[in-house]
Amino acid sequence: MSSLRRSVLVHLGALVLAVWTLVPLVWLVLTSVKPSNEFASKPLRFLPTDFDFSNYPRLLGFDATSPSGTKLGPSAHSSLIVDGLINSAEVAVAVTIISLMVSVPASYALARLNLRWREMGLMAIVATRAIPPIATTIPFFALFSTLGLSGTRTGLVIAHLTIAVPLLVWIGTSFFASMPAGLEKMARIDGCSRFQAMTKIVIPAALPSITAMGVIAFLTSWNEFMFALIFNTGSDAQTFPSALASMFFQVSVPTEVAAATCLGLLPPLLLATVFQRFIRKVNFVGI
Amino acid sequence: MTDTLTPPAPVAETEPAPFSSRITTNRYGLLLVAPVLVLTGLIVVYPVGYSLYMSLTSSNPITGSSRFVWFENYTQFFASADFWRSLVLTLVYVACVTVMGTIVALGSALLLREKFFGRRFLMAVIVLPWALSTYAAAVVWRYVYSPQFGFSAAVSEHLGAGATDFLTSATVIPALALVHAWQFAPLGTYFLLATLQMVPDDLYKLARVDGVGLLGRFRHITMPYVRLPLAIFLVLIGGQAATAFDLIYFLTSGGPGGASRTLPFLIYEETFQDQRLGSGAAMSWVLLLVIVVLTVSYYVFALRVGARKNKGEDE
Repeated sequence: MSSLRRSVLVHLGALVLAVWTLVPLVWLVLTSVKPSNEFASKPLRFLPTDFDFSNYPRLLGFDATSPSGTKLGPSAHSSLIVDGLINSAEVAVAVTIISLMVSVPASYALARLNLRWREMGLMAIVATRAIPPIATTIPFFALFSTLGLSGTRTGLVIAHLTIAVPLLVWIGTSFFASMPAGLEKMARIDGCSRFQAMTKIVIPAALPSITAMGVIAFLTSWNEFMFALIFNTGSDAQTFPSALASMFFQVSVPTEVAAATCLGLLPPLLLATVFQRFIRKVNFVGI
Repeated sequence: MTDTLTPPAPVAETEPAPFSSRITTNRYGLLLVAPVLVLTGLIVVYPVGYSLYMSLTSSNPITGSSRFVWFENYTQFFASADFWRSLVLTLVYVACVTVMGTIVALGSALLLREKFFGRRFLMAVIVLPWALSTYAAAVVWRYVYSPQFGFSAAVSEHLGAGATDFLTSATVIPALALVHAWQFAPLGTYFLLATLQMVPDDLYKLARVDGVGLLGRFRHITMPYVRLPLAIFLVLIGGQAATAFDLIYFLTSGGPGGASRTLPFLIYEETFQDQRLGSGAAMSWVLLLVIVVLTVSYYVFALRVGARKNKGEDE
């Protein structure tokens, strides 16, 4: 194969890969800014004639003006979406804090102490990730109905911890194991107790990795759908994914649903962008 | 202590050592891991045990009372055609996702190994589908597949063909599998690319000089290197596909006419729409068994192919 032909083929392949990856996403964003009388026009247009951003403020509960000058009130689904976003944020923050509090010391111990049952403990914690979510949903549903936890944020936080904690222990163990050996020994020589060696020396040095763990915990909770759908749909504690599902299956304007989806994607994309240099260190093989 | 040359005694020796330094390493470690062990025990082991118990009971959705029925739930759905149809659909879906995901992941990894204009940009954006939550990916593709306002409809209109609906019963499983592959292939691409970059270029050059064709170079040079990351990717995406729920919920809700009702969706309907918790719990144990069998067979397959390859090289 001549090098010119090879280069042409490679560039063609790259174009195909770019189209395959990006077109579905671009189409959603374009649909969200199409005027509501145009998204299903015949024949279908690839690009809107006018960019209409009014769906975004209207979903957040504000008035907006369309490009043609019509004044529009808030979307019929705005309270659903806004409440969903707030609940999602609250649940995700709680999950992040609790899962960090329990998994940072645990992964420190599993990675850096010479424990007899180290391998077994790690295996037991990580093996829980193999259980399909639908299998734990049913007993949780029964348990939460008895305890009055269904339809509450607390219940959803507990459910999300079952996913987030084993994941964080797995990632955290590999983080702590990759730090230089002997950190503790130096801390002990300088007069730290064994506990202080962890809290004053190792954990501060591991802050970037712990930040990555926190971001992953937040995203895990924010992106989770099945528990959110089954436990909290229709309640005051409904989070964004189930709010979006309700909107999706009710009578709704497709351009508004597209805009709502984009709104829900903003927080994780922002987080991932801001913290990407921390996240890139994660060993994703275990996930 | 009047002699200034005598160093002061270390403080630690005059005061009792702190608690954390007095106990044995194993106990100290247990103390740090205890919260996770308790949490895992409470929120994972307990529900799993409870689900096993539930699978042996039958509950009345109206009164809420339940009675022990031994294996009646299992024998009941083993006798139902819907269950077997779902099981077959699940296996077909897993096969489709595995094949499509592997083609996309391996293809893009081989492509990204080359040098071309815009490579850095492409490296950055291919991760986007994987960064989305699954339900968002499903909504994204709902807009691609929609016969009224979808991208696929727009393209086929501009090509002069009528709008086609990909989510009809004949094509729904491959169409869903394509979305799944779109979302999870980037993970495989990154795994495979990391390995491919370790393959020395000289190997390919030498093989070409020796007259080994494109397919031969792929089989004898690329495959031995990517076998392990590919096996890991297959196990991950296979498990994902066998438990896929979000995609099916948003795109088809198991339809049309149950044509995409895979096991996770059947369990969802059985448990949360028909309120048969015991039967749903029993089915979820069958699903767990399916996943274990799939995982083990993927590993065995990957390792056997690997062993044969290595043997061939030795001879």
